[in-house]
Order: sequence, then structure tokens, then C-alpha cells
Amino acid sequence: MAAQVQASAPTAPPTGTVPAPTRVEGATFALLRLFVGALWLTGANWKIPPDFGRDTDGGLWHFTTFAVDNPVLPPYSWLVEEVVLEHFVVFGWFVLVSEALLGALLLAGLVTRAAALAGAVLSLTILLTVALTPPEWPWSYYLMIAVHLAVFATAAGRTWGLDGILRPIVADRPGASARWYRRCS
Amino acid sequence: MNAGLVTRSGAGSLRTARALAVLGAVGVTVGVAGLVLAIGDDVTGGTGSQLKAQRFDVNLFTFNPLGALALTAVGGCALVGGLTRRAAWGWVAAVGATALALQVLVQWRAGEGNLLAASGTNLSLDLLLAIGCAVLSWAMPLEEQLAGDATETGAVAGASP
Repeated sequence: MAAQVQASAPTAPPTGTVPAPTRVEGATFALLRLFVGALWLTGANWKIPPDFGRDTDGGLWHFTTFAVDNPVLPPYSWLVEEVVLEHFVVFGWFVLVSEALLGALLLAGLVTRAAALAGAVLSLTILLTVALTPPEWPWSYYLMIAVHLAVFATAAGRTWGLDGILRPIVADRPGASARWYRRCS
Repeated sequence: MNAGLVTRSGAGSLRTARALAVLGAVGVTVGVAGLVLAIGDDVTGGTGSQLKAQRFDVNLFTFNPLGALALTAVGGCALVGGLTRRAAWGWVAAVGATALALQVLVQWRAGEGNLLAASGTNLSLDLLLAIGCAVLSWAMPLEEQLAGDATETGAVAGASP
């Protein structure tokens, strides 16, 4: 009897995995991921080297100084003033390459969960930089963080993304890199 | 059993090949749109013309004719690789897209404009094509092998009474 009950019970997904979405759910998650990817892709457009706006008080420099002029979190403002603005070109390159890479990974749906977490962290830093500067709307940055967390939680690269193609291929492969990939996707 | 035949029959449904073709089609489409937009511009001009929908704050790729042609060529290689299921073409596309991204970064680093009139958005697309094509080209033979194994297992299972 016990065996019969066990046999007829719905199969639970193994611990640590995300249950396969329905077609509509998968499509929705994928659209969400593509939308967020497009956000970073277009965001990379106005980070312009080599000075990133420092010499003209424009572009990325202008927005970064908001963290000092309208502080959201005093320790973060100190960090921006003493470290980021002092080494601004290095910071500018970091932002440009990070945003371009995030756009690429999220649009491709590759290592999507890791990219989504990185996107949430980057969104948090933007929130801490500009949220209290008029006429910014802080909720837009709360939303950015929330959307990235949703992409992370739903492993949105597994529908219409490279993760959905690669995971079955590397499923049984041994080694640290395969294990690392499975965690990040 | 002829391993070549098994592999070829399994290759008909390769998802890696289809994805490579999609990436290539994206590259070709954006490249051709850029070419149409930049027609008449200076071939290697630093400013370029931008694909955008200003009203909606959507600012996309910037092209001069050379940049648009280069992207079309890279996308074309990926598309051919996907349609013919040959990973070598995908590798060529990946190397080409990497070269485009590096060229932009190196020229920016030197404080110059760049030969392709690219923006950060172009860089993102170059990275997408470089990483996507490389990963898919690496995975295509593995998927082919898995498909072959599955076909072989199926044939054996079907032959048993």
C-alpha cells in the first residue's frame, strides 16, 4: 500500500533545481530576461571613453557625482568621493565592460543566474548613487533590482536561451567548471 | 554500425546549430540595417549613424559602412555555420566578433575614436556574438555525439525482441 502511494505521488524535482516552467511561464521569463539584457545593452551606449565625461562634467562622471551631492548612504558617498572619483577612468572602464557584458550574457541567456545577480548588485550601486537626486524616481531602481532577482529565481536562460541548450550537454560532465556552470545557469 | 551515419541522422535536430543560425541572423539583420543607415557616410568615419528610437529613449548601435559590413560578415559566418551545422564557421564568427570588440577597446584605450564608429552598445553586441558563437561551436560536436549515442541506443533497443 505504502509502495502504491509512493508510486502515484507526483515526482518532486531534485533538491536545488528549478522546476521546468510551462510554455507560457517560460516565454514570460525569457521576455523578462531579454528586456533586462536590452536595458544594459542600451545603457552601455553613453559610457564614453577615454574620460567618461570627467573633463566636461558630463556623462558617467556627472551621474557619479550625485552620490556625493545627494548622499543616499553616507559610507557609500565617502567611498565614491575618496576612491571612485579619484580613480574615475578605471571605474568608467569597469562600468562600461560590466554593462556591455551583462547585456550580452542576459540577451544570450548564458550563465543567466550569475549575470542576474551581478545585475542586481550593479542596480543597487546605481540606486545608492542617484536615488535621492531630483527628479530621479527611486522606485525605478527598486524595480530594477526586483526584476534581476526574478530573472535569477526563475533561471530565465533555460527558455529561449543558451543555458537551455548547454545544460543538457554538460549535465553529466565531471569537473569543477561543469559544476560551476550548472550553478551559474 | 556506421558512426558517420549515426552522427548525421542525429545532427538534423541540433539545437546548438539552430541557436548559432539565430545568432548569425541577428548579426546579419543588425549589420544590414546599419549598412542601410550609414550608406553615404564616410566609410571609416568616427561619428557614424545610430539606430535609435529617440522618442522611447532607445539608443542602439552606431555604424559607419565599415562597421556595418564587418558585423554583417561576422553574422554571415555564424549563419552559415548554423545552417550547415559546421562548428568551424561558428569559430570563425567568434574570432571575428572578438576582433571587433578588441579593436574598439584598444582604440578607445588609446584615446582615439574608432575605425568602426562603435559605441558601448556595439561592444555589447560584439561580446554577445563572440561568446555565443564560441560556446555554441564548442558544444555542437558534443551535442552531435550525444544525439549519435541516443540514436545508437534507440537502434539497439528497437532491435531487441
